[in-house]
Amino acid sequence: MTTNPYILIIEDDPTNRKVLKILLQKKLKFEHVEEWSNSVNFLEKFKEMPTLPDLVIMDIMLPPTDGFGMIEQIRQEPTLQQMRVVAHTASVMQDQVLRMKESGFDGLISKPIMRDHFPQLIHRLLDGESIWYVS
Amino acid sequence: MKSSQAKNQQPPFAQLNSFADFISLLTSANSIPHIYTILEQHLCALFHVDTVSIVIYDPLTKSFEVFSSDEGAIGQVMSAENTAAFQALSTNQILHFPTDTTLSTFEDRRIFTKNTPETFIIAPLRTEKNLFGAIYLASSAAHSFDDTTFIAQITSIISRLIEQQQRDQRGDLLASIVESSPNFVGLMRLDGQIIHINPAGLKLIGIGADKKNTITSITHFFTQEEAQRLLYTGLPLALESGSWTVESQLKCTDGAFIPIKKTVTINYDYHNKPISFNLNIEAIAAQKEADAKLTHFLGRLEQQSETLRRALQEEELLRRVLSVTSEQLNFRDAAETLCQIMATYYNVPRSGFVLLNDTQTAGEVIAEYFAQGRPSSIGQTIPVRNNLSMEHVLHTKKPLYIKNAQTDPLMASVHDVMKMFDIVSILIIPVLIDDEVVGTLGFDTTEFKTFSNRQIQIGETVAVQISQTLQRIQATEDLQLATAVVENSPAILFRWRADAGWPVEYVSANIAQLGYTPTEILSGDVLYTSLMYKGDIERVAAEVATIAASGEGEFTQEYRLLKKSGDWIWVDARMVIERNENGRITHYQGIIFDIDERKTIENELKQSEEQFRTSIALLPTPILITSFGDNTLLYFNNAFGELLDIKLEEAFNKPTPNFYINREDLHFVLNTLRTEDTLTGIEMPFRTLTGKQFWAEIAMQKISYFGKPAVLTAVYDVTKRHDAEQFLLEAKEAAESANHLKSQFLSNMSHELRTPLNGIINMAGFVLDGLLGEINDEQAEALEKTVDSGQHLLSLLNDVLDLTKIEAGLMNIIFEPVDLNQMFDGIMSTGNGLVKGKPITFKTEIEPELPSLFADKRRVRQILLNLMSNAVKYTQEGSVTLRARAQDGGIFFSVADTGIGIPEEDYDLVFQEFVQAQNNPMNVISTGLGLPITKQLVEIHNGRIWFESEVGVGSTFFVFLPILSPADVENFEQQNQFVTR
Repeated sequence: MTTNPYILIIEDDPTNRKVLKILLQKKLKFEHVEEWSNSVNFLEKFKEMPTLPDLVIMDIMLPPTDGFGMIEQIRQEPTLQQMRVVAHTASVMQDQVLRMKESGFDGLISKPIMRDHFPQLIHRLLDGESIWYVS
Repeated sequence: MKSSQAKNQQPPFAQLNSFADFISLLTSANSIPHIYTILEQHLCALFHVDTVSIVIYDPLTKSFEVFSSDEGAIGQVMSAENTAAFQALSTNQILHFPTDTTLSTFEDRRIFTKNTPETFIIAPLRTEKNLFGAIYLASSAAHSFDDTTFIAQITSIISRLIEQQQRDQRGDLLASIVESSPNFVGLMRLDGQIIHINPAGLKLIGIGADKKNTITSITHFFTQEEAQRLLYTGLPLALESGSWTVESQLKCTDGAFIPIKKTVTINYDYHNKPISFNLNIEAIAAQKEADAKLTHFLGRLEQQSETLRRALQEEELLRRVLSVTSEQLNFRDAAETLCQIMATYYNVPRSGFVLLNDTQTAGEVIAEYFAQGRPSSIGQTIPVRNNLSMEHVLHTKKPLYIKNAQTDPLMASVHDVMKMFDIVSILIIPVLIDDEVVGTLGFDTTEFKTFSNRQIQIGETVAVQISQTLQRIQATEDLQLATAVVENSPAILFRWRADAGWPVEYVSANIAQLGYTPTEILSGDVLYTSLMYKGDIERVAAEVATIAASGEGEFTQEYRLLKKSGDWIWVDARMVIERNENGRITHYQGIIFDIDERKTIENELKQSEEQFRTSIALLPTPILITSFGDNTLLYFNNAFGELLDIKLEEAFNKPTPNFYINREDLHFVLNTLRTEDTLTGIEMPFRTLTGKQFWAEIAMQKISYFGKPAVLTAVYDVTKRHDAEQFLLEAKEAAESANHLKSQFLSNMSHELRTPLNGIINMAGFVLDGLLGEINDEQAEALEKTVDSGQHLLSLLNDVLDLTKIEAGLMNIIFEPVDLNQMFDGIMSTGNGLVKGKPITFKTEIEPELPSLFADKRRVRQILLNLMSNAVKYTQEGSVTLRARAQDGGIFFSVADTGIGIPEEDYDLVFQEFVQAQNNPMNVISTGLGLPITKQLVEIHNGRIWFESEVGVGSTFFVFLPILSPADVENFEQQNQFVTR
């Protein structure tokens, strides 16, 4: 894990986006945090990136392409296959979690975020662990 | 000469009483019929007899015509032969009946159409030279006719009068003939002096009628030489042979000579002494010319008649051929006759017929004809190979004419034979059937002969006839064979009249099988029905009546028939109904078979069939048996009949009705049975004959049903089960649908609650944590409460969701092997986390090497964490101890605390939802759902949960989870409606 990881947040809800930003920037002191509020042209945008994020935290209910649609396309794109992407959602019923696992997400950061556990969770995810903890 | 005419001419007469008057009357008669009429009218009175019959003799035809007799006989003509009248006439005797003889043997009995008189005489009417007739005089028996002399005298007088009349008439006739003749007719004295010359004669000589007295001698129109020759040569020759004819010349008055033919005949007096001669002269100039024409005409006629004759000959030939070919049943005989006919027609000495074998490789001489002897070649084989002439005919299929068989290349192989038999010209005519040569008709001659096209055509026509005969005879032989087959066959042919008792009009000879002769059956003494078994007659009659009424023409029956021996046999009768033009049944015609043996077997079969049927008739399972292949309905039991609303007597032996509602089902069944012997557990909708629909489960099995391949079908009405299943299915679908909605609702609710909680808990937490700047204690406390409330709300949400999911059966329990030893590592760290900051010790007493559970790892962990969490909540200080040990096929877990304990009165409330201990000195914030959820989770694992507690001392919660096998899980999952996977 780099000491200064590059984190991309894709989240349409400003509050949730803010929560993540505070946690990442203020609590974890990550400097390189980027935010998207939607999934418009996400594939092109990924491809145009000079470097890919170390972790993508992705909401599921997103306009216009939802998280499942995005992860499907990302996993089909050879250059993006290895990118770490975790779901960030309040839809944490068992069947939904199962679906996320099968879709190609690398883990889950459920809503509401347990802020005390968050730093550990992020570090483990950045270390390559696959974590599916539901708060 | 009719008597009726004579009668009309006859004037009425006065009474005649004397013989003299009678003679006087006769002599006054002006014609022969007149004489007969007088006889008819007066002889009765004259001879004192009752009736008079007169027959008149015609010497030319030697017959009698009845002039007078009984009504009906008059005018009849009878041959004189074998008549009593002719006997009387020829012997010139009066015959006396019945004294001399009886008339019954004579032809002239026919003149008496009423009663033949008992006593009568027949008197002849004749002179020495002429026979005129006979008179029958009949009277009562009393009349003796003894004075026949008188009668003879009278008839003699009558006869002479008739002769006189005849002579007078003939003289007149001759004179008129002579005078009107177109030829020269003259009467001369024997010395040549002229007595008379007719007008035509005078005209020929050139003398007018007025000057006829000027010529006195034949020398007037003959030269001296010619006259001399006539008188001295002609007359003696005429005297000798009756007449003399010679061609010469006639000297006319004008000096011209014309060619004539003269005929001289001699006249004699009564003493047969020549007294004169007749000279008959024909002018033959015109005739000579005519002769020439005639000769020419005759020539043409001859030609025409030759054509005609030939046509007639051909017609005759063909007629004979036809008659031979249509009458002869034996082809060899027919062929032989034809050979003869044709040889005669062609005027050749030899002909023969060769019949080819089927392969056309050789022929056999089967018939031949010789005008004169030569060794017979019948039976001789004629090879076709290397026989150029034969091959030629086979190839061309046309007649072949060879002028010289001894040199013609086509006959090369048999030149020697031809020479040996002196055969010169040959004609071969092929006989064709279906355009294939089957034989040849051959003719050969001993001298050169040509055949006209016409003759060859005739030959071909005959060949066609032979061909047809061959085919016909073949057909006839086939028929004879067929007849023989019938006679030898077990099928007895019958023809019955459709009358009471079925009188037999025809029966084939093989009725002998039953011991009878056809004559016995046909005599009419034995009625057919009297041979039938009494018990069968009524049924047979009813069947016949039914079939007759239905208008059908054929039917088959079985009944018993009496053999001559007295035994009964079963017969199969196949009959055709014959109707007349009015549609009335006139005859039955058909064959009967002895089927006794079959019937016996059938009866045995029937008995076992009966047994079989009886055994399944009362089975509660509906069973149907159909023949495999034609799907004929053979049997079904009572249960089947009731289920499908069908009656066996109506459906038996007919095509099985279609009970399948869906055509595809029927096709599926039929297709399956084509390859499989059985078919079971198929459920499909059926329809009864009355249209009722039901769900049927069918089981089919191919069987042998009394020797026939058949299919046994068991049909179960599973409508109730099907409906129940359907209901369940629908209910399940509805439930699933409801559950899906519920699940969707819970999911949405969870999402909608958790999302704002993310903001609430974290934003408040950030401020609380000082991430967003310094806050005072009061603010911190308020924010802490906010965060805790948010956390509580989240816990509540999770618990409610869990409980709801469990109760709704939406809880996904994933059974898998659970390694408890590994699990406890994580639980212990969690436990330590729970007691962190509290004066509580978390202790564990875990038995080493616990066996694995087959359970939902996450839920087992939840059970233990819930209990631990509860224990920590209600314990102010002391310890919380987690224990686990294997025992009684399961694992005993326990969580013991040193907390406030549960008062006894609250025991019942411990596992109830939303119930918290009344006594809550610790102000524990709880959803009140933890223990109920834990209990549910334990029970999902087929386990038990219970507790022991003492207020102020502490509580211990016990959980027993059995070690399950996957099979156990299957079992209890099915019983546990809350569990779905």
